[in-house]
Amino acid sequence: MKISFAWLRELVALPASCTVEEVAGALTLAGLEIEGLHRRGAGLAGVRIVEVVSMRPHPGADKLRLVTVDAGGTREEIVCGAPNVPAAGGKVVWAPPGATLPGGLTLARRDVRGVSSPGMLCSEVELGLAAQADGLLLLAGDAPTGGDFLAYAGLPDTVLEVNVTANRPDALSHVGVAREVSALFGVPWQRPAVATREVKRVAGTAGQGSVNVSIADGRLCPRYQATVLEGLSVAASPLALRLRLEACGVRAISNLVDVTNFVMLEAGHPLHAFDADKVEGGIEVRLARAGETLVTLDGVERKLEPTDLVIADAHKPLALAGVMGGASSEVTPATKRVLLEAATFHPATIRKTAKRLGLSSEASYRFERGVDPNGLDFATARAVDALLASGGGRVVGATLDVYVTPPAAKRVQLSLASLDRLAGSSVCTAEEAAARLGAIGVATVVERTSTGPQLVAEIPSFRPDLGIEQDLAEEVLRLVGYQAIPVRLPAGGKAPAASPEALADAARDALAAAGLHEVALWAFVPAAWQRALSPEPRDVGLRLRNPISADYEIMRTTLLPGLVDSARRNVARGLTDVAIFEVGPVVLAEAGAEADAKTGETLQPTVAGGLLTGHTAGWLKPGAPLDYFDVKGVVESLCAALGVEARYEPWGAEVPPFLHPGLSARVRLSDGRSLGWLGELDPRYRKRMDLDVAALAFELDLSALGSTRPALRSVSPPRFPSVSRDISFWIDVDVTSDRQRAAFRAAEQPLLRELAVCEDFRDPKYAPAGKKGMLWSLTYRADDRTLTDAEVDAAHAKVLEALKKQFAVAVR
Amino acid sequence: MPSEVVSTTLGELERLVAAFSEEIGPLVTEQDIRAAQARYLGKKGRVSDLMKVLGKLPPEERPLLGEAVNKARAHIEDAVAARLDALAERALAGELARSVDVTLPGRGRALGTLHPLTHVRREVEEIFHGLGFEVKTGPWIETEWHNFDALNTPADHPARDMQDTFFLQEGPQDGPPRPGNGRVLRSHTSPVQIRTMLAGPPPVKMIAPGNVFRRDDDATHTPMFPQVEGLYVDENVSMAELKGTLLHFVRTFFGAAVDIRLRASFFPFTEPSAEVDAGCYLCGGTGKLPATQARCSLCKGGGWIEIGGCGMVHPNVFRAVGYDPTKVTGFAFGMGLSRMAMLKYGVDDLRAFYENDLRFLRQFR
Repeated sequence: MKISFAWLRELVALPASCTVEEVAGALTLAGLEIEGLHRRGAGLAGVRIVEVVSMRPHPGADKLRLVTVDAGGTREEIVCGAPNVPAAGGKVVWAPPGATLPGGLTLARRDVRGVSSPGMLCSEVELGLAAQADGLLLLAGDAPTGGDFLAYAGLPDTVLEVNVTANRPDALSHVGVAREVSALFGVPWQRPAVATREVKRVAGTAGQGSVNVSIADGRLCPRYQATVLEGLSVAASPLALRLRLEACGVRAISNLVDVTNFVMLEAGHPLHAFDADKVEGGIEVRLARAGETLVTLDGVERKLEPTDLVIADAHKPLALAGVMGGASSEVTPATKRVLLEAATFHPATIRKTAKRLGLSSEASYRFERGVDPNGLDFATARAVDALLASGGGRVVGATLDVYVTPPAAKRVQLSLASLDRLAGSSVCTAEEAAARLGAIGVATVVERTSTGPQLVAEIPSFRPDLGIEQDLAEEVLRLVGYQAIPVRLPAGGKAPAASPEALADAARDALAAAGLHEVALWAFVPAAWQRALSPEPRDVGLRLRNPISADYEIMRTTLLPGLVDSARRNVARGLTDVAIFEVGPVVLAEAGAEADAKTGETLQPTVAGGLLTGHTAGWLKPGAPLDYFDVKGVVESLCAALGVEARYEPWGAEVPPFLHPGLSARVRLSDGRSLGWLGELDPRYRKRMDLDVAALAFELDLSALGSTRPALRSVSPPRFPSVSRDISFWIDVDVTSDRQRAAFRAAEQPLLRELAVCEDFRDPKYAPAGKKGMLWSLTYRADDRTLTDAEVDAAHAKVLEALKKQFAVAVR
Repeated sequence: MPSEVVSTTLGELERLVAAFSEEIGPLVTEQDIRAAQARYLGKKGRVSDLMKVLGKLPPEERPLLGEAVNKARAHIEDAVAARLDALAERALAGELARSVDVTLPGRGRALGTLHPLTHVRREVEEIFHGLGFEVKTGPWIETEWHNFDALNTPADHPARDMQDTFFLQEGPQDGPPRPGNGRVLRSHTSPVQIRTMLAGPPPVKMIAPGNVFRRDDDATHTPMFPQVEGLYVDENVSMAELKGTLLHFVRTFFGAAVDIRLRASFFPFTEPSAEVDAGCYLCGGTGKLPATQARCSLCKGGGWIEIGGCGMVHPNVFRAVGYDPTKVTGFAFGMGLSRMAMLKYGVDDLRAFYENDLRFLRQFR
């Protein structure tokens, strides 16, 4: 919301020495955050109002003219290129030599195509009042010829950009801000005086007057005031008023409409002016009926819903209550009679309509937050005064005031002890607190009770947000200033338990130590990425009902697509070696189903995923392309860091479609539970994801692990030497090293302590068809003696026998 | 006078010693030198051969020749030792002459990095852990009750708009959202407060870091962003402890000279409420850069940087979780971690955290 500082000064008696920065600083600390200050008319000096006397063509330029003006006794001839120079008697703005314009330009007498021009005639752009203009700024006939333009236009001014929080509808006006400033600076404020006129008050839901009003539901429209004026003439508003509206972000239209906006900006009450001649019969405030439509002021035909509150006449909707007027009853230059509406509406109903239609107006903004029903008398009186002053005419009969449901009186108590307890110490006396509340219009008395002083506050209707003692405490504290609250560290408590993120953080450290870089992937992914996981596209994952765009449609069920996307972007940036990971939640539930049986909550396990492309590290000579064993090394490091014993199994027929069938594995915990997968990505999956380099990836479900790693028990180093024996043989390629290892172990030789694979040799030049050459190094050791060769030979023979018993093995 | 035999033998010995020296001169391995030594001094060596003469000599001539043989033996042994020493020295010199360009890069995969948002989260956790705050986490997908109702944000509150919050599709033919029973992506970390208080009685002293989601996507907003929530509930917790906690945090995180200020504000789940500003560390809170006196680009000349919101827990929040608001009070605060990371690391584009450009991420060692 925008507040004009000049306007504010008219309402509150700030000392002249008080700067706008001081006011902005105080308001910001007290809860009305000033997000910006915009100067209007700054740098503008010496600019004067002049009257056009005559005009003749420029002898040297078709588009320029020489305009003779009366500058209050003296005559000047000025070169002007504007298309809208008024006829003799018109008033315009002249920047004479010596005048300065915003931006620092000082005018001088200057030769324009052979004619000497003393300064220039100005548009709003040159005066720094608008971003664009069609021509000269034309002033009303009553502008004083020769007078100072700044004084006439109410300049200079500073506009305060105020961020008003949702709980403070009272502050959505100059009056509301004046009340705050008054309280913060200890100076008086007052509303402008208004004339007293006859008002016909009706307590029910319908009333008769110059126009009849009936309200269908007093909850949706607690109060409606209608005033009819006639004999009005439509004209432009005075410049100072127009500039003020524009300073506050409201476009000036005509005197009748501008008055309603002016009163809204001043007092916070949105008003509406209907062309009374377009209203057939009385006013009905009701919900829209099925099938009704309304062309709003912006020219758009709106289909109305039965949840929309409308202002209607006997035949049709005239306006969307509190949101926007209708074109059919709009005030036009021909309007003579006006029906002035001042009302209050149900905030949530207004909000629903405004949101549904995407129509947010200055009016709906205020009605959504709550307009003070007891402020309507002032708003109507102020608007009628202004309409009569600028439009002529007269009021027809009395204002009809249908007040269905006045707000109940509300009283809130706050004990000084509670205030001190919230603040952490005494920040003021009860009397001072009461005075602070009184200054913002919350009449408060101090009662002495057995438990100490008690503040009893009558809550005014413009502060619907004040309902409990904490609300009052906040008012007192913010007016005293939060800086009065002392600074104290909390008392010690019990030592905090370990973080639930500890395991995930250990995984992050391990993966970074393994050379991978942590990325931040979105929690939601495009549906296409989810579908690409499988060659037969199917939707997997929870879908958002209202995604911002197709990029954020479905909750990720795996980190893989995001990792692939990040890798692709980095490859596109020219990086060849990409090693990235993330540790974070995935969302496993299918839409609505598969929720956690116990809690009814969606399963959101934390997983660790990574992706590698490129070559092994090296310089001077290129490294080898990364392969399965590189990614397995990363996964092994991760498992070691987490204290996990993992098993790696070929997939067989169950291989997920995004993994290469022969170059990937399922990872299991030693107890057989699934932990995840690793391996090379299937080239067809890469193609679907547009990644044109080979990539290795993994994903482990950390939720499958305990939150703490198993306790570590140590064993002393061996005291007696060990003996190694190598064994080399041909074996079927599909016998995995794990199965060979198990076969060796099956010999149950207690002396066999270590088994290490040294070679998996598959060169078809040497290897028999379907065979691979294996080289193992077996280590034998006893704990109580040095082994003899004979003992080792005997044990080794048994181990070899065990292998041969299970597999067709040809020793090399 | 020695006999002729002796004279001949003595001459022979001298020649042998000289020949030996000549022989080992070009030899460069210990093995070859030892072999040469054996050819002269071994049992069947050339020196030993000469010794055979000894037995045939009259006793009075033996000592003379014996001494000469021993001398020759010693000469040869010395020559061997000297030659070996020289070789060892040459080898050492050769070894020591090796050198590399020490400025070339090392071998092996370089260390990876943690994401800047992880660095900041951990630093924040560590600071609050030191004050006794426990880290708690909660799910991304929340019920509307946890995300809104329990936090004193009733069904018609603007914050519950479809505009701001992501709702999950519950079925293929979803109608308009029914307030209260739908599932949402949590729009703040505050539901973790609710879950923690529901899980046990006061006192509660926790922080909850994590990603939250709002329907914003522009230069200064991402639809997902990390927050950290703090909550301290006990008997007699006041705004003084809130200020103390935040001041300690800001000074540990940004620097010992940095101040804070609280500005009155509004959140449905706290009363009183405040925005938290930290003194701008770039300009020292003056609004002007010390070097140039130009307007500070970080705080835009205001001297303060908004880092989060805070307040005293609203009694309705306590009621929602079954705490008695007449017995306990509490404070809560929330801060955006990406903003803190931007301030801490001088990152001027929020999107950089989510572009996953390794050229950016690799810096955060």
